[in-house]
Amino acid sequence: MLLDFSKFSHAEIADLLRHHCLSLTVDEALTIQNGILKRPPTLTECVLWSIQGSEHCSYKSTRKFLNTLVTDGEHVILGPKEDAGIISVATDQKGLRYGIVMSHESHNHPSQIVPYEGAATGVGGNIRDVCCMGAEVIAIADGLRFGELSRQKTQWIHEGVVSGIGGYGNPVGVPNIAGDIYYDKAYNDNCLVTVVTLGVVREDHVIHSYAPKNSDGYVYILVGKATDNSGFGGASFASGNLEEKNESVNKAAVQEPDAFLKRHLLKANTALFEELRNLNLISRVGFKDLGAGGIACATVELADAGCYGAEVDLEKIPTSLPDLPRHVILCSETQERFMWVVPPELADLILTHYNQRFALPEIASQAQATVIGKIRSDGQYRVQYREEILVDAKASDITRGLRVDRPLLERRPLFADPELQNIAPNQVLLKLLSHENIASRAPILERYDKQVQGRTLIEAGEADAGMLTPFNEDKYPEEIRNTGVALSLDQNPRYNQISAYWGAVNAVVESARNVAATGASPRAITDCLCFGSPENPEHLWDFSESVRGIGDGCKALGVPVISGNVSLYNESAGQAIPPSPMIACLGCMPDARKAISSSFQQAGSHLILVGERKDECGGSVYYQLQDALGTHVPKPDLKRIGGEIAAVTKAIQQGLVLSAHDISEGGIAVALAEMSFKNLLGVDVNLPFNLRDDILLFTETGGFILEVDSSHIGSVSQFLTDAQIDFWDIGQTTTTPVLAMQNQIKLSVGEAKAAWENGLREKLG
Amino acid sequence: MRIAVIVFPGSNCERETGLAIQRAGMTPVEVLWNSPAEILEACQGYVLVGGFSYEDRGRAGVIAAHLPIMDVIKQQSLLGKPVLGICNGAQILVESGLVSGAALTDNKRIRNGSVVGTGYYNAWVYLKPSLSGRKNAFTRLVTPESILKIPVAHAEGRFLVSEPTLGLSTFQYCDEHGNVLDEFPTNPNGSMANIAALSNKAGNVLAIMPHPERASDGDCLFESMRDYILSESRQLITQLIITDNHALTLEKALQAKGIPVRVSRQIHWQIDCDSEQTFEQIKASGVLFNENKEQEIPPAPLLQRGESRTLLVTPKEDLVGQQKMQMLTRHYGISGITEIKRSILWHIDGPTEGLDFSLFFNPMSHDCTDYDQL
Repeated sequence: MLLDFSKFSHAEIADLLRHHCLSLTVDEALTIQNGILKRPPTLTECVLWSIQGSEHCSYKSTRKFLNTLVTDGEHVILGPKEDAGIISVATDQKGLRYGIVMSHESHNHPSQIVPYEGAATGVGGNIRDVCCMGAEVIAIADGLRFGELSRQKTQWIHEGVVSGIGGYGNPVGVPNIAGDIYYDKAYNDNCLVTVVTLGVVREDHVIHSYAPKNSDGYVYILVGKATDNSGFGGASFASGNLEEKNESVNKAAVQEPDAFLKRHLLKANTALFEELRNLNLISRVGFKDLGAGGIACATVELADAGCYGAEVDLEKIPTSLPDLPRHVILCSETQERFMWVVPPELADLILTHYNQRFALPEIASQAQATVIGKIRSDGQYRVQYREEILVDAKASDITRGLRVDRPLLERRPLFADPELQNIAPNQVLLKLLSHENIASRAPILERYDKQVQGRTLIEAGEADAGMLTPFNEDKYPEEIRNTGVALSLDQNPRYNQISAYWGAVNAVVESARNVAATGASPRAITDCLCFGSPENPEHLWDFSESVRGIGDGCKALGVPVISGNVSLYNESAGQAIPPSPMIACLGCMPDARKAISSSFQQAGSHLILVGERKDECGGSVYYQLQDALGTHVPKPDLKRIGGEIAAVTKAIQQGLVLSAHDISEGGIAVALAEMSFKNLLGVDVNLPFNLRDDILLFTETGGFILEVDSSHIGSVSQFLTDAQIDFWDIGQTTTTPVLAMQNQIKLSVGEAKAAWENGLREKLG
Repeated sequence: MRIAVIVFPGSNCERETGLAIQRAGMTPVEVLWNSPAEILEACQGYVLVGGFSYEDRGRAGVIAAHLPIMDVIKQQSLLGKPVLGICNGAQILVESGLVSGAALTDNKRIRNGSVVGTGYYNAWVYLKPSLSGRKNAFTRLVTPESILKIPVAHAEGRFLVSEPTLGLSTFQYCDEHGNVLDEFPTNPNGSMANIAALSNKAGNVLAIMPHPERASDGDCLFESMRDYILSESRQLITQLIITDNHALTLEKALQAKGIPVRVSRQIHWQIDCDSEQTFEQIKASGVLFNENKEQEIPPAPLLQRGESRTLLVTPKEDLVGQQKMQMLTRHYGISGITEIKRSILWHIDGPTEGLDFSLFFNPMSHDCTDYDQL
């Protein structure tokens, strides 16, 4: 079907686009016809451009900001160019580098509407991104933002999302090692479900998401579930405004998870990677997951990234529903599929591998591997169904997508600092510990598999970051087997409401402090940027400020951004979410046997505070107890943070620190309390700062608390002094299980622990 | 020592299981569910790993339990080889009847009268050897006072067992001091009698819900398995090629009573010896059977099919076994034999309802077990 836009008025074109559910503006439609194709486009071509031109795929509003981030560096094996980034974390004696593959994506809109499926397919898609780099998938982590727990809708979404993450991640056999959750009314109508996936791959075993050199005539092999209409239009849906009244339309975009088939595909893929390595064929193949835009985007991107074109024969694509429209077959977001591009002589080996050895057709109805097209050398992308040509355009024109330059307008938040009421500090501490943004995450974590695969060293919830030993088996060289890899996720919605810039800086710095508190040195950052509509100049300004904050934070730490995604239009009825730069930090340490948790290990240890206490209660949970947001968010000293983290990790890696915890939500009082719970040890602490006691105890200025045995105080002091980092010896751990702070707080550890353990559980259904 | 790590579609704990097998000094061999039987038969032991075979569709383990590979594993278990099912592997063993008299069903987590959660639950728990449990292939090196800290990770892990099966409980959930308290979270899933692991009668098949492969505390199970294989009980089944008058006469007697069954008889030798070589030497000696009139057969044809039934009848005092051992040791110079036991297998093909089993054994002098339930 041809759509000849030249025959219609603007209003008629708008109607036509709506009629066909095409997320294109009238101008974009005219550009496709007059600027690119120079003929009327087919319906399929319009669908293809609407996907490739979406914010999700083309970053059309955001590219210019993202280009300012540092994405390379000595450890970067692959920056944010393909399906996932890769950072080197270990080098063996032969000089071979071993990489951690990282992908970070959101699945916000679908999770708001069908929470279980939305969250599950969010995990699934992210896992595919990592797997297709030739990697073994070794961990996931989830960053979640929900509305107020007092609302029924929040409980409903929460239950679905947590079930979906567990319901997919557990069977797929990937441990959940980290994550963070905040509840804030700003997410009442737009939850955020973001997922980080880690994989492991040796540098020379990376499989790229492009057709290799000299691949003219190479064939495409589609692997996995038979194509249906599920998730049709996912990419453009993800880039649209979420109107509750359109729920029935939105449901057409529901993606259906099949964790069982995915697990089997991962197994089959890993076995095939090994076979290709043995045959020395890794560099002669390309591999890509099918996500947004389905078969169309996978085939055209594989081709164009290798400077080729392609042709696809739609009739060869196995479908599980009769009479699917052609453009749906080409662009549907049916889950659990991958695309290979391989030399024709390799096709039989791959088809046999999936269809016989791993018996795909027995695992799921019509699941299989099938040859569906081939690479063309002329750069043209053609899709055909019998005699009918559905797409005939330059591959590079399609992948370039559409561009747009949108205006910015500075947002000036109008918040004031509150008149603080006097509440007894013991009561404040108990309220903070039971606050849903601080209390124990056990009710959620107990529903995730945290140990599968046997690599987990520190589980989510045991320390500020989760830690894995990815190479703990004899197939890896002995000298790298003890390498530890730590992961932490961060973003504080309340800081971001006050300042997009400082909100982003804090997310980067806190995630880095979290991995450092286990002993790992920050190595790379990923960003999953969730914002409101870019068509709103204030939201786009927030976006630009956020990227500036991430950039400054990364520069201060000396770490690159290796992967990420952008999710816009997170708003309903004109109400957008706060700037939400969801940050993940990956750290590594050469000897994970030196890694530490955040639980006090013994009585009589010295407590070293790193990070001066300042009046920076803006956005704090303490202010939230007083129904205020405030203005003074924590402002990390970017000149010092790199040195501070280096000194702390050095001390931990040398075995001089018994436990460590970063100071964040709830301030130093909460941090000390959390450290005391596991082994029921008390503290006796005095803070030598000239601040009001409540501010001193509950301000969220960043920093660390280090538990140090008295015999190591000298060495630790020396490290910190050498790095010109201020620190204070604030007291000791005690056998008596009592939290004694500043003559203000005197609370039994048992009572504090009960508040913390039950705080969230009691608020959840 | 090759241990098959059995992987079904949806299994996902093969990596940590392989690592645990290695730590215990054995070699893991990953075997896909659709592999030929020869690969399995060449292994000395089997581990059915955790995960979600067929994504627990229907109920956990039920689809995998009915696949052909389970017949092969059952046959190998009847030869005395050890079979360990962990988590989903345990569910498969229970569903397939290799561990019988039990069900594994939805977790029950109740505290102070309220449901504190349903479905999948992952946390660390404590286990101790059950008091009633005899030592089996997986507890040989576990001391009675051991308390093991290992994780659970399942949604359908609540053991329900029949009264006579209670005695096969091998591990129980307890608190960190070893107290067996039937309350959450000590008993993480509401299992009857806090059962965390249950064996078959012979003690060479174990269904365990927690994950011993994920924690160093669990290594003792794998080390026990290795120890058991090193001193393994081996089974030898022989059958007459010439007419077996015992079987024919019993068959006639039954037919005369109007019970139209066919009866065959096999000799079942249980041989405890130190190695495969010793076992081969014993077989080659001709002391246990004469190749000119008897042949060794696999256990497969004796497994229950349709209306058939196989009884294993063992004398309470086995003098023939003792005498054969004396002969092999003294006159054939074969060392390394610990025990030889001779039993009779009666295979009865046809409707056995109303059958008087006193024809096959006298309970005063002999024990009788269903061969399938061993």
